[in-house]
Formats: sequence, C-alpha cells, structure tokens
Amino acid sequence: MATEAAVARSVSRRYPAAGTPVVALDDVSVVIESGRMTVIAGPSGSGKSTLLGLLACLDRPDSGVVELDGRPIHSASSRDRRRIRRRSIGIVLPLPPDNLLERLDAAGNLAWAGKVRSGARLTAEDVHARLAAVGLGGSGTKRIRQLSGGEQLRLALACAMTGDPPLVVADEPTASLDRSNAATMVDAMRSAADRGATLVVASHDTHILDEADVIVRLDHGRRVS
Amino acid sequence: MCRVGGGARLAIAAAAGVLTVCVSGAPLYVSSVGSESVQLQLSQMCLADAGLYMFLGQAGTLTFGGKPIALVEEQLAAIIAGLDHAQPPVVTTSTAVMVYSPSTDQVTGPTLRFFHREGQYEQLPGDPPTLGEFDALVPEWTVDSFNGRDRDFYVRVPSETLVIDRETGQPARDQATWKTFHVAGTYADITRPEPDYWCGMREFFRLSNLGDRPRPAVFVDAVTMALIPSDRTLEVRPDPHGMTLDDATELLGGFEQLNTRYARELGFGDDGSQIVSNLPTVISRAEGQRDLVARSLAPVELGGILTAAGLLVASGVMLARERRRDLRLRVLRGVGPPALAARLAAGELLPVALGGALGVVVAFAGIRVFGPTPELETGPVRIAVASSLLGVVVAIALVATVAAVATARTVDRRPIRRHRLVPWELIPIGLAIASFVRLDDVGGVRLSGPEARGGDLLAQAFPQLAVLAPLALLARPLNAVLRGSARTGGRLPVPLLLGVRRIAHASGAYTMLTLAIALGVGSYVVSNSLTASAEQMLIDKSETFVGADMTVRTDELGDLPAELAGRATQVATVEGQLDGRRAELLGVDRATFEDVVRWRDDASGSSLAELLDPLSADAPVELPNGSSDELPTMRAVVVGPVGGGSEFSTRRGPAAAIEQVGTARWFPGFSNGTTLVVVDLDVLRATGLEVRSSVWLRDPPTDALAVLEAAGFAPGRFDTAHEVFDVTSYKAVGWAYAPLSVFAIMVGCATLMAQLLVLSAGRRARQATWTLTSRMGMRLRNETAAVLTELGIPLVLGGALGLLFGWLALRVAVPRFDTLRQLEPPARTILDVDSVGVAAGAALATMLALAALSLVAIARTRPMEVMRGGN
Repeated sequence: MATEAAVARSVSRRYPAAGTPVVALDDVSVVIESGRMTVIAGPSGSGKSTLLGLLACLDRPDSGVVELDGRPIHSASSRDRRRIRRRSIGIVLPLPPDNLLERLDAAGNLAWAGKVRSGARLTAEDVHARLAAVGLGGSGTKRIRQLSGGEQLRLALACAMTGDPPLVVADEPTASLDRSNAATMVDAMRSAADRGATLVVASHDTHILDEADVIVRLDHGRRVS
Repeated sequence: MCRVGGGARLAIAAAAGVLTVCVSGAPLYVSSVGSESVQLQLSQMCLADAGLYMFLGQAGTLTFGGKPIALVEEQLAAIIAGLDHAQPPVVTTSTAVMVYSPSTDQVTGPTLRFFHREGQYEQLPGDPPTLGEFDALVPEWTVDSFNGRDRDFYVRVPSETLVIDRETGQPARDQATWKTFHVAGTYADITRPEPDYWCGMREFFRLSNLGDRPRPAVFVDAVTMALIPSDRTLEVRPDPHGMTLDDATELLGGFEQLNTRYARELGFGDDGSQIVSNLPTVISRAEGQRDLVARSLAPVELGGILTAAGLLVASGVMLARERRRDLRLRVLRGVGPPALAARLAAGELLPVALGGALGVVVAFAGIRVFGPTPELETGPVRIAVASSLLGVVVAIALVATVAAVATARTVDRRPIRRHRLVPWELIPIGLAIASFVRLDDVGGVRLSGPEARGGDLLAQAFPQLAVLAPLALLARPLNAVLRGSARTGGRLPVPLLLGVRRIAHASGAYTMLTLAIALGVGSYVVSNSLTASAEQMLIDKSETFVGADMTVRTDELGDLPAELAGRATQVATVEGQLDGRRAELLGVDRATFEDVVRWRDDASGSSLAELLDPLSADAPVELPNGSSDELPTMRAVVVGPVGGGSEFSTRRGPAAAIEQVGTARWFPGFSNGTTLVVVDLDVLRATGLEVRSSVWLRDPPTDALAVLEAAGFAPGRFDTAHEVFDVTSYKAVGWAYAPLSVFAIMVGCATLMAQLLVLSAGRRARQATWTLTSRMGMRLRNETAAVLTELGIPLVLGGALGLLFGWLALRVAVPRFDTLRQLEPPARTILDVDSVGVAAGAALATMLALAALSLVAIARTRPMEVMRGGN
C-alpha cells in the first residue's frame, strides 16, 4: 500500500486584486502517494500551479493544512520551509532557462544542485549516471545555451531529483516543448516515477495525463475529480 | 538566460560614490573651513599681532639666568627655525634718549627713540638714504617741531643733533657717552596705510587713541645702535601659507613652550606674559566657525546619506530584477537570504569599491578645488578614509541585503495584512513644522562677532525640510494627475501624446523623478540664495550702523576735496535726549548725502529724497529772539522710538524743538536703542549747537585719509562698514550654506541616475514599440519629440515646483536665520538669479543628454532580435 508523501487538506488561497480578491483555490484536498506520478490537471486559471506551489513550500494557504511526510509545513517558519525545500523537494519550472544557472555547464548545474541539497559534492560518476538517466549522457560539458529546450528541461528534472528528495514537483514541464521533446520529457518523468520517485506534475498535456498514476482535476479553484 | 546588465552595477557604483562623497566630504569640508578661517583671519590682520614677542634685555648684558643675551638669542633662533609655519625671527633694537642743546647747554625735549630693525631700509617709504655711522633718519613731522624750538640746535636738513643717553641722567657734556648725530634725512608717515612690515611696531609710529604723537623714532644703522645701550626684542610671525587649524594650534603650542622655557631665563615669570599674540583668538574663532559649520552641515550630510541609501536600495531592487532568474532559482532551491546576500556582496564588491573610491576622490578633489582652502588636516583625512571604508562596507551590505530580501519575498511570501496608521507624508511635514518651531525659537547660525554660535541640527534642517515637506504632500495628487493624463490629451499631436502616455504609464516613477528634480532645484536655489541673503544682511546692517562705507571723524566741518566729489558728504552729530530718550541729532548735507549712502526702499514709505526734501533750508530755523526760553525749531525725520513730545535736549539743557516731518524704520547711521533725529546740516549749524563732525565716504580710495588731511581736515578715528563684522563672517555664511548646494548636486546626480534606470528598464519595450511604430510611419523626429516631451514635463514641472517651494522656504527662513535682529535693517530675501540660471541650464543639458541616450538606444534597435524576444 502506497504511503502518503504529501497531503493538502481543505486548502484555500486568494490573491489580492483591485476590487474582489481572486480565489485561486477553494477548499481543495488532495493526497500525494509516494512513488507515484500524480498529475494535477485542469484548464488555465483552475489553480494547478497554486496547488503545486502550496505542496512545494513556495506559497502558504490562507486556510487549510499542508503536510509533507506527515509533518505540517504550512505553518512552519520561513527558515524551516527553506530547509524543507532544500532537502526534501525538487522543483521543475515551466520555462527551461529558469531552472538552470547559465554560467555553469550541464554537469556543473547538477553538481551545484547536489551541493545545495546535501552540502556534499557529487562524484563525477554520479553526475554522469544522473545525466545518462535523462538522456544527456554525453552533454556534461555543454554550456546551457548549447542545450535545446527539451534537454534543458530534462537536465532540470535531473537537478530536481538530485539527492532523491521525497517530493518532486513540475509545473507545466512540456508547455514550451515541441511534441518530440515533450514525449522525451514525459518518458523521463515516467522513468523516474518507476524508479520510486514521487512526482506531482501540473499540466493539461494529454501525454502526461496518459502516463499519470493519479489525476487530480481542478476547475475554478475547486477539485472536480 | 538573463544576462546581468550594467544598469544596476552602474547605479550601485553611483550610489556608493554618493555615500562616500557625503561621509568623506563632510569631515574634509569642516577641516577646510577651520583652516581657511585661520588663513583668512591671518591675512586680514597684522601677522606680528598673531606672533610672539620676546623681550630679550639690553644688548651685551646677561639674562636673569646669567647667560649672555647673544647666546640666548642664538638658541631661540635655532628653536624657532624648527617650528613649522613660523617665519624667521626679526630683532628690533631700540632705546629712548633725550636731546641735548649745546647752545643752552641743557638737555631738552623732545625725547627720541633710537631705533633699528633688521631689514628696515627696504621697508621705509620713499627713497631714504642709506645710513652711515651716527647718521639718523627722523620723522618728517618732527622737522618743524625742532625748528620751532631751537634754530641753532636743529633741524634744517641736513643738520646735526646732539644727544645724550637717557640712562645716564646727566648733561651730555659731563658724560663720555654723548654722541653727535647727523640727520641724513627724513622719512614719511609709515602708518597710513600701515605696511605689513611695520604693523607690529605701531606703538612707535601711530597716533595714540587721544590723537597724541608718539615719541619720535629715529632710525640709525646697526653699527651705531650697537654703541648705545639698547633693548633687544625678538619678533616671530606665523607663516600663514598653507597653514591648517592644526598647524596654528601646534604653532601656538610651540610659542607657549618657548615662552615657558625661557620665561625664567628672561625674567618674566611663568605666566606666559611674553605672548602678546592674537593667535589664541584666531584659533578659538576658527574652531568656533568650524564647529558651527559642522553643525550646519549635519542635516545636509544626513540628507545626503539618506539620498545615497535610497539610491542603494533602488539599486539593490534593480540588481534583484536584473538577476531574477539566477537569484530566484537559488531561493526556490532553499538558499536563504543571508547566504544569498553573502554571494551578492562578493559579486558586487568591485562596483561598490570602485564607486566608493571614486566618491572619495571626488570629495578630496572637490574640497581641494572648490572648498574654502586646499589645505587639509591629517586627522580629518584619516576620518574621511575610515568613514569611506565603512561606507563601502555598509553600501555592499545594504545592496546585497536588499537584493536578497527582494528576491526572497518573491517566493513563499507570508501574507501580510498592512495597517498603515500614519501616511508617510506626515513624517516630513511633521519634521518641517518641528524644524520651523525650533528655528523660530533659536534662530540660525551666528558667524559674526567674537563668538560663532547656533547651528541647531533641527533648526538648520529647515530649508531642506521646507522644500521637502510640500513636495511630499504633492506626491499622491501629482501621481494621480500623471496617471490620469492617460485619459486626456487626445487632441495633442501624436508624438506629444506618446510622450504624455509614457509618463502616464509609469506615473509612479515619473512622480518620484519630478519630485526629486524639484528637491534638487529647490535645494540648490535655496543654498545660494541663503548665502546671498546672509551676506547682504551683513552688508546692510554694517552700512546702516556705520552710515556709509567709511566714516571719518574730523575736527571741524570744511570744504570737501574735489577728489572725493560724488562719494563724500559731511555730517554733524549732537548727542542728547528726545523726550527723555537717548537720541542723536544727525545733520546731513542734502546735496551730497544721497550720493554717499545706500538706501533700502523698505526703510520707509517714502524715498530718501522725499524724506530729506522737507528738511529744506528754505524753511529757515526759527532762532530765539533774545528770549532764553525760546528754542530753535528744526524739521526732522525721526527714526526709532519717539515719545509724545518734541524737545531735544543736550547735557546743557533744552536745545531745540523738533518738528517731525517724516519717519523711517531705519536710516544710515541708525543704531538700535538711540532715536536718530535727521535734520538739515545747515539748519543744525545755524542753531549754534556744539557738533561733532564727520565725513562719510562711499567706495573710499585707499588714500582717503591723506586726501582729507591734504584738504585741511584733521582725520581722527575712522570706521569702515566692512570692518564692523570681520571678513570671515561674510565667508563663513557661505561656508555654512554651501553644503546645501552640494546636497542639491547629489540629489541631481541621484535623479539623473534614477532617470537613466527608468530609461534603461524600459529600453526593451521602447525598442519593441519602435520596431512596430517605425513600420507604421513613425519617424525618428517624431520619436525625438516624444522623448523630449516625456523627459521635459518632469524637468519643467519639477524645476518650477523646486523654484516655487525654494522661494517660499527662503521667505520663511531668511528672517529667522537673522541672528542680529537687534541691528536694523531686518534681513531681506535675495533670490540668487545666477543659481536659478545654473539649475535651469543643468536641467536642460540633462534633458538633452538623456534624450540623446534614449534615441541612440532606439536607433540601434535590431528588429529581428526584437521580434525573437531577444536583444
């Protein structure tokens, strides 16, 4: 039986705006099971990225509870939440360049991600193995600008999974990719989940939905399935 | 990927520069003020008066300590040679002698002073003959005197005098010491004007306060002097060239040590009585002015530091924006603000250090070139360097912290419910009110008179706060107006409309720019106008107090020499009482009075001519017809407190009935506490009252006294308007207010930098817009008009607001900065038109430069790069 990696219970989030506040999430509950790829789906503005942000310690709910590994994280101090992000959560952002340091090469980015995660440097073999796992075996010395958007996102996934965090979140990871690169990215995520990683992906890409273990559908800030 | 642009780094460097200019410039400026005050005071005084006199004793004898005088003299010379800023000592030898008349075989007067001073021949007026043994030079004025007494004995030049040493007290013939002297020539008066060389010897040459001649000084050569028992005096003068306040203090310490060391040796005790120097006064006054300027500088320095801090914060935010991808990624991955700040600090060390170093160089160069004096003391230089290093550290820490916190706040931001209780505008308004109350209470700085005082921090901050507070109040309405301009101007030509729309689109930024420009212009104009007003105040007060540029007491009224036509007038005064109050009758020559005095229109509702006209002699004085109880009646302009009656009386009793035909708040020659009764000079003379006469002069020539003397006047005591307050007073008001203009320049630099940042931030959007609009028919000249509109509106509006609020601040501040309110006339506000011109010129040049930069950026647009979202 799968354990609960993360849980959101009755979370709500409103954003201030001129006039009436925008309700991004309204009393949403979701359970993220370990070792599975959970996809949060829904149309634009449905609250996918907001829910992902709450699970990844990037934002706090106005009400409700968010737990990671059974511990409440929504009320933790900023310092603790930074530590949780550093140690326990991998993050993949939608735009490829936002995930990587331009001045480092591919291996350097991976090594830096590992250092931030654990404080220790990854060995060359480990770096090579992790690059190979996302199909970038021979690209370790390439500068970021020399990588395609798809390659950059796969490298971002490798960085996010460095140190094997309990939770990896990816926000619209295929939105900026062509069909071929998107498929490769989806395969990489599927493989990671198959190797035991817990992934939460916000997307309305049908390829990803097809590969999902669990699908959570949102609409207008409410869970519909 | 985001490239780190140069905009933020440039702004960081500039902000660090502004900070170090402030923190290093302030101590350097204050030091410069103290040193310049010393130099200025010394340049205006006889250097001998600020030096050291040591009475050594009689030549050829022993000191009280039993050493030969010559040996002590050598020792002193050697020690003095080691003192910095001390000129080589000069020895004066003199002795008093009496004249012996061989015809009467008696010792008679006048007694003479035989005199020799090192280098004297080169310093005598005219072309005196070089003296040989037993030759003598006598004062010109003694020639007649000796002739009158004994034709056989003296004086036809060349002639012979027989003298005897006063020390003997015996008839000359009975003594072997008497000598025959040959009068080789005469020398002219060396006290009008008094040359620097002789200024320390004034008791030998100048008239006494009672007008008595001194004992005639007879010049002889050194060989002759050595034959006569005489006293030797050592004079040491300071060398003001390049002298700092520290140097002056050190020199005074050297004098005191010298005095202490030789006091017992030379028999003068330990009380320092050998120093007859004004140097302690010079130092004390310089210290007072330095400290006062330091206090005046404090609010300006604080304002400058706050400006720099604001620019650093803005730079930090811009840095976070420029490096947002890199920084945000680190924050997302859990890197905390401290680690982020440390990383940023290391990265920004170079621009901060370079900017800071440049700021220190600018401060040093600025003070040395534009400051009161280029001489800087070591201590303040050390403080400036240490402060700058601290400033650089603070700047790095501030920029890095702001950038780190700004980035961290974009992620995992805890919802904050803001409850702003007090609008921020109330802070500067409250401070301005508090500052006004304080200023009204304690007044401004007083830099005239023996003691500089004032300089309260809150009171001195009023000019800045008075400009800042209304601008703060305007911030919201102005922002609303600029934002609202997006809905107006539909009928404007397209380029102008585009410029207006850009302002409306970034109304917040342009509001701040407009206000910053207003603050800079206002501060600059206020600074220069405060200085001009304060200087004019001193001029007005001194001229009113003295009466004209120069007044010379004369023995009696006479005919003024033609050389002084148009710039001299005669007045007569009588002291007495008007209705029991102290009063002074002032008889003026209406034909010449107006040419000589300076008249302020606000002294009276009438012009000077209108005031003086009714005093006309056409209405002759009504002299008593043999009746002792009948008083002459005089028409008069009465200035000052007036009682109910109209009888002027002197110590001898009632003197005249006064018919008041006009009044004024003040009048040339008026001093508070004494009612001035201005009457016609001829009318006053006709009364037969005993008067004291004076000649008043405007722009007097340097030989004014000699000219008057040649015209038959006997000039007595004289006063000049520029000596009522010493010259440092005029300079010091400038020193006190000049930093405000530096603050204005810094605000201007910060504004320019902010404007560059605004343009830089919108560069990509402008290029994208230009890519589209240029293909829709927009020409570069249209874009030029749009840019000029966009930049011109804040500059013109800000400049006008700055000028308006600056003028209002001046109107309120100037009367309250008047610390000599007991002296009429009151201070008046002088708008320094030159500074307005400079501010307008700088604003125009800035606008054109920024427009050029913006247009160059647009002209370099690469359409394909823009279309791909790059560039």
